[in-house]
Amino acid sequence: MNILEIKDLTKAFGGVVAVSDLNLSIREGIIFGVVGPNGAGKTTLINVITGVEKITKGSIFFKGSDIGKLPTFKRSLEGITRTFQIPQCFTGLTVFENILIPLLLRLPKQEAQLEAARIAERMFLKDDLNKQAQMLSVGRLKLLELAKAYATSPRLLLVDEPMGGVSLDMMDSLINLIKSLRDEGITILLVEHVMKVVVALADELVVLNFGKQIALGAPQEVMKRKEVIEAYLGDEYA
Amino acid sequence: MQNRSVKPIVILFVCLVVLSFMPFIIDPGSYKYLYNIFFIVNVTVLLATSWNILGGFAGQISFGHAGFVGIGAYTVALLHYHLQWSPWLALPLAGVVTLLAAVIIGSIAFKLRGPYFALSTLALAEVTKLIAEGWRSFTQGTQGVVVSPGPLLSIPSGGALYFVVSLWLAGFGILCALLIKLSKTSYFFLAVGENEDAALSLGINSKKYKLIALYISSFLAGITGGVLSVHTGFIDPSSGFDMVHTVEPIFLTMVGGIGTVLGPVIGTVLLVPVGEVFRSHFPTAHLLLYGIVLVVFARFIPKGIMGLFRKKKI
Repeated sequence: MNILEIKDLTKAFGGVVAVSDLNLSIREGIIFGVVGPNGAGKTTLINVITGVEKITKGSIFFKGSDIGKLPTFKRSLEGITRTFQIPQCFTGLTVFENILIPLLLRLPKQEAQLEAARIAERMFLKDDLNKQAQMLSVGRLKLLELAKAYATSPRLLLVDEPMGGVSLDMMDSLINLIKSLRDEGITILLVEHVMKVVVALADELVVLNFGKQIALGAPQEVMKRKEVIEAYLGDEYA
Repeated sequence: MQNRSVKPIVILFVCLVVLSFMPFIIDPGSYKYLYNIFFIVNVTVLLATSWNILGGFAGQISFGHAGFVGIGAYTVALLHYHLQWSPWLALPLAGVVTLLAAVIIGSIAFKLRGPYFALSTLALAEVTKLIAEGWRSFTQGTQGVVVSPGPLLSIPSGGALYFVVSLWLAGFGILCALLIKLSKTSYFFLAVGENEDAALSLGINSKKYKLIALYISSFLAGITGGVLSVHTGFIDPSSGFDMVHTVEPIFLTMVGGIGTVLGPVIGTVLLVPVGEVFRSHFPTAHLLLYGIVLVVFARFIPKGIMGLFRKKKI
């Protein structure tokens, strides 16, 4: 069953078309990778799915319902949550409070506090609970981004470049973490530059270039396609 | 409600009851100047708390509180002038009318964010002042309006009555701040103030929480204006919409501790009496004092006095 369906989606900023006539169907419970060179429209796609940017043309269906006109916070309450490429944490608050806030939307305070502690442990943030978010390294901020998003109980989690600025050790932890979220039943749309990570994680992969879909399928097979190599490395390598 | 939540409310109530007996201990007739300072402290606590709910709790910096105070002050004065209402009876309406103005302002101003919102509130204060000056047939323009409060429940107007009324109004403002701080809403206020995009992505309806903060804040600021109008017995555009009503609560909240319940209280109680004594001896010198204190705090104690005692914001 498809959890998300994107039909003829176009997003233009004035004369610049960031996403062009895109059609995608994402099956429930998989990790769906989105790759492409800089400016391919990957983050714009996340922004459009989450409602940060309005659709220019086309429609988006989440669990069969058209969500194209829902505001961002309602999409999150419906089960679509994202992380940001540049972590957007509540920097003046502690790690615990950052995780607690989304939980308070649906749980009584005491239950939310217990759940926040459980999530922090699961996301390897147990030792940072009382630290202010602004004291964390980039890698741990990425973990906190995931923890906050996870606290919303998402059905579809859009993860924007989780490996950016992350050490190699942390990368392995993040890969395992994302896999475990998928195994829990959360569908993940993963935008990532590090190919090793995408190939290791994604069950299905789409490649975008200048806002258009140029390949779709299993990661190992897609990465061998001539048009994908062309988009990444230029004609002479294809 | 849990015991932890009830305790500060009980402490507040006990403090208010005890302080209400002050006129029996210190004679208001013999110490008029002192009671005038007490009154100013009380209404300033109310105004600073009002600003703190919007600017400190919800992170929406307002430069328009002079506008809210002016609307409240004129509500009382005009109901008295045109309809011969008792100013005391009109006092709750000062809050309600200001809140209604905030409903209109909020629907426009919250289309903007951050510094743009702050600037739009500054425009509000100026526009409302211009209306008060220009609409002479209704507001008496720059001539102003006289307010004769008369007795309240057969208690004659005077230092004791003004003190007790302003004290309980300040207590009401602190109670509002306490109830917010003890509720889940304070967390959503913080989230919206810290990072609105992140808050939205987590499912928090940022506009709703910004509006709640604005409505509570404007109501309390309107009441402040109303009681000032009753106390001074006269209101005109320059006194009602005085920019001091915008600047002072920001300054006092910063010194006391922005985003905390006690911050505006501590800032006001420590600085307003000193400022008033300065003002009585050297007119405008209190502004110099405030300026020096603000620079010192901004440099050495940016989180205010409360920040010295508390590390966490919640």
